[in-house]
Amino acid sequence: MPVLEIAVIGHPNEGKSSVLSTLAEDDSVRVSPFPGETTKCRAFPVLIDGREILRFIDTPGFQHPERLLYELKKLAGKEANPAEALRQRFVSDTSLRDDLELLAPVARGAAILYVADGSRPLRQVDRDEMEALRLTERPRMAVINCKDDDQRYLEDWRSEFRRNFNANRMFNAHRVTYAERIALLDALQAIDQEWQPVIAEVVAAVKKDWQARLDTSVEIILAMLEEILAFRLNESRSRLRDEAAFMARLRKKYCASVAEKEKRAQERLRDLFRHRRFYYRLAGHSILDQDLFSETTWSLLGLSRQQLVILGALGGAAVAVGLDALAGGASLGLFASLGGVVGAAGAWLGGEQLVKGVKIIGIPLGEESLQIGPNSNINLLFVLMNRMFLYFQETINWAHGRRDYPEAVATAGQAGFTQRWPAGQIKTCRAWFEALIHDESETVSRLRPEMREIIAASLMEISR
Amino acid sequence: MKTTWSIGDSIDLEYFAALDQDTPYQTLRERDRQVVEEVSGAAKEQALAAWLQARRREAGRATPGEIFTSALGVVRLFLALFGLIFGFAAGWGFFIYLGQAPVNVLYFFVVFLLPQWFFLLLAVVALLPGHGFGLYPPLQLAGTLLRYCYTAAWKKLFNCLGAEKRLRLTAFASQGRLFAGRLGKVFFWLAVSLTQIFACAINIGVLASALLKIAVTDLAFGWQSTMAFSAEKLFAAVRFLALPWSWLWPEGVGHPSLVQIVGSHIVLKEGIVRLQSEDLVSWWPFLLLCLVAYGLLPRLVLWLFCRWQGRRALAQSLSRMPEADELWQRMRSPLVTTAGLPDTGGEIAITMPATPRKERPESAPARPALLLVPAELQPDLPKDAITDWLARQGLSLTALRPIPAEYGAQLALPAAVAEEMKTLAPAAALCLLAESWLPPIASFMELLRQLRQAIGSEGQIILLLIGKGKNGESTPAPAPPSSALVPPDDPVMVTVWRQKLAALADPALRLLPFAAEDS
Ligand SMILES: Nc1nc2c(ncn2[C@@H]2O[C@H](COP(=O)(O)OP(=O)(O)OP(=O)(O)O)[C@@H](O)[C@H]2O)c(=O)[nH]1
Ligand SMILES: [Mg+2]
Repeated sequence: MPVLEIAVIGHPNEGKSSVLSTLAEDDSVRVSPFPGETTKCRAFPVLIDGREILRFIDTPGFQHPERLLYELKKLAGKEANPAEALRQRFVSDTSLRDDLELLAPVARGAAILYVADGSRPLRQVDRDEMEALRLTERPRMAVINCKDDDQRYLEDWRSEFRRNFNANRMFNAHRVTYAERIALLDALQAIDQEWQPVIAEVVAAVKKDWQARLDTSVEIILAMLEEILAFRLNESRSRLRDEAAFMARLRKKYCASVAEKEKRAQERLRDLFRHRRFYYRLAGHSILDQDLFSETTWSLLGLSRQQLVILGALGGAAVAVGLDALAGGASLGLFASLGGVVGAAGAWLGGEQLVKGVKIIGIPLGEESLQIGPNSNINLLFVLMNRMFLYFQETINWAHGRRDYPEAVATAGQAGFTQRWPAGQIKTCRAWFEALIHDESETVSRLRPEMREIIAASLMEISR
Repeated sequence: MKTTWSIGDSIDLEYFAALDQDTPYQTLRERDRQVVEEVSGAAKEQALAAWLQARRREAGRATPGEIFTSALGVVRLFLALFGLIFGFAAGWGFFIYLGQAPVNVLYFFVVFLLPQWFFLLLAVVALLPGHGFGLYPPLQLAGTLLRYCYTAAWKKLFNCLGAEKRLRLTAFASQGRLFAGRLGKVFFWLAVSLTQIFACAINIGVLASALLKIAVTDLAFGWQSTMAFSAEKLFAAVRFLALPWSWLWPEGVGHPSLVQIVGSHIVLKEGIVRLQSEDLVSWWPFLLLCLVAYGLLPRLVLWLFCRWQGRRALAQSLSRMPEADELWQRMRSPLVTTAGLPDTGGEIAITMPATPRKERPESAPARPALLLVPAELQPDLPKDAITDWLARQGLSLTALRPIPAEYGAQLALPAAVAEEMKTLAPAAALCLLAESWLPPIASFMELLRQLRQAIGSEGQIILLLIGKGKNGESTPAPAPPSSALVPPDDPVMVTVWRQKLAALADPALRLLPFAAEDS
């Protein structure tokens, strides 16, 4: 079966390359605010499982729409393939270079995806282009890619599209989501009887691929959580060293490794969703960019007050308190309030102070070595999950056609994704967390499917 | 007042014209007319010079032209000094006589005259009309090769550049070509004349050192040759060379006589003791006169020739500079205020200026303009707004023609426009209306080029650029410009248009983006 080709065609600077970039999830496509960026056709294959199922072709914009229409009119009806005949006829005319170049895939039999900026008035050149494309007799569809929110001209465009195309759709190269991309592919089925089964297969493959990516995302997040939560750092200490300085250094090292592990997971997600340029950096002024261990992050993104109360009431902090005691009671207050000692009321009242005394527990192991971690504070689990969810959300929703990469994304005030979770889920998380930090691998494996479910459900919700 | 137009003036004129590019016409006209009132009745060149003076005063700091002029002065001085020192040092080193070996006259020719002649020949060949160097096939071949590499390099470069850089580069190259077309010749002659100054200075330096040596030391000249080179032959050559001044200084004075030549023949084996001092010194007037006649004088002549050619090229460049014409036109056009006089109930009080105004130079009336509008925009074009806008530019809209939508019909447009332009006054402008948000595509640029070809290189073409307006400005929509004229919305697109036009390298083509507050 030959690979299905879809040529993205239109007036210069209408966003052809951007639409293609988004559709093909390829951010290496050249896009520029200056017209005439694309001068050569370039194919962008869509690979699924290493198999090329579809090929988008980026083309230069029309430079001589009137002339093209004029010539095509003369050829139409006489030639079986007017586009090819036209190309043959004018091969030596260098002034028509761009126009012939963009007709090349059409002449080869590619389907046409006509891109127009619906936020500007419709002009004669556009009508000429559309009519010229109609004369090529290829299956074709139009997409309206509004560069700004000017709606005054939409109706003009729509009615002109109805005259010349088998189908038309809105498709914003900068804002569309996965669902809208699938919808566009779905709509392509309507443009040609012959291709309907091929495109149906493509759509099915893309959908399957998306599901597979979601599953992989869950695994990435789960693996990262297990790694970080069970993480411990052992280091031997020379007796001569100052203990406080040593502890501080160890703590720093611990934090750095946790941040590193988190970053690695983020990068895997980024690769999974085929972003090479875009990198979601947690904003400087956003709560997320603050150190993973800083107090604001914990209190804002970890758990809601109510959830803290629930956790407190669950009263399972006894072990934590025990561990805490080893650390010299520095974080005693926290775990006491989390545990049943003070009880639910204490957690409720102390919600804000809770996080104040958080410290990594340093457990002296003999004289020579010290161990830091695992972190016994369950807030870490929620902070990590929320950060990952936010990262996931921003990454999957960032259209590949966008080039206005932000220096930092402001997300201050964003509510944690876990804050709406029901008590049952929180309970599972807690049990899993306890098992993790105490190295109870059996319980961890037993609870893993449940955790997977919980995370998968969240990702599903985010990606909808 | 300065009477001669200089390169610095031309540079400044271009500079100020570039500065004025985005200033509303009204403002420019009021400012420029004032200058004219000061120099009423002046000719174009003088008026322009006065205008430049005024602008320079206003600028308050050195303009590129002034910087160029002073830099040129420094370069000239430097070349002259350097040439003098160089020539003097060379001469000083050459004229050495310590009582054993007299200065070899033949060396003198080889060192001081032959190379000069060689370079002089090169210069003259280069200056020959019709590319002197093209006469030599190897040079021609090299030229072709160079051109080929150049175009290949351009192509390569182009393919890996983005649209933005590509645009900028072509615009820049075209402007460079234009500039070279305007002032290239001027600079060429300037460069050649600078080399002549340098060469003159060298000759003068050699002369000075020789005179000084002759005056304060005891110099002896002789000649020697291994070949059986007879004294008679040398004498014939000497006499021939001395022809230009032999009427003034005859044999024995202006050049050595045969006897003296024989007497100054050095044969190393025999030493110089037997040679007569009178014969040995008899050479110097001849040598110095040779230097003057065959070194200095040709250079001086060439220098004067270059200056003359340079002036001519400069005058030509001024007459070919559209900015100069536009300015001259602006200075003479009458001030029209579109605002009506206040209605004071029949009686109109106009306060006359206390001092009677000087007689103005002959006023140029508003220029007629032919406006081409895309056919689809014509039906609901806000004609009044356009007429006003053009009036503010010193143009009066005399005719409005559609640019047909169909390609076949478009082909006939340039000829028809040229016909119509002929019926208008010679200074008529051809205006085209375009929408800034549509990228300038090749077909439109070709239309511009064809129009230019049809109407000739003189007539001004003005591209009027309008925008589409923001959302909500005229909802529900009739698409602009039907409702009113709107300035271009996106500065990037204005840049694109500007650079695209610049790439056409058309000196009489102007971009005029619409601006609401134009005065
Ligand atoms: N705001 C906004 N800008 C867009 C959108 N789509 C494209 N653009 C911008 O429009 C400009 C042109 O986009 P391209 O994708 O390069 O357009 P093109 O049609 O490929 O242009 P050429 O290759 O020059 O013919 C770029 O600056 C894009 O960022 C959109 O949906 N919204
Ligand atoms: Mg493109």
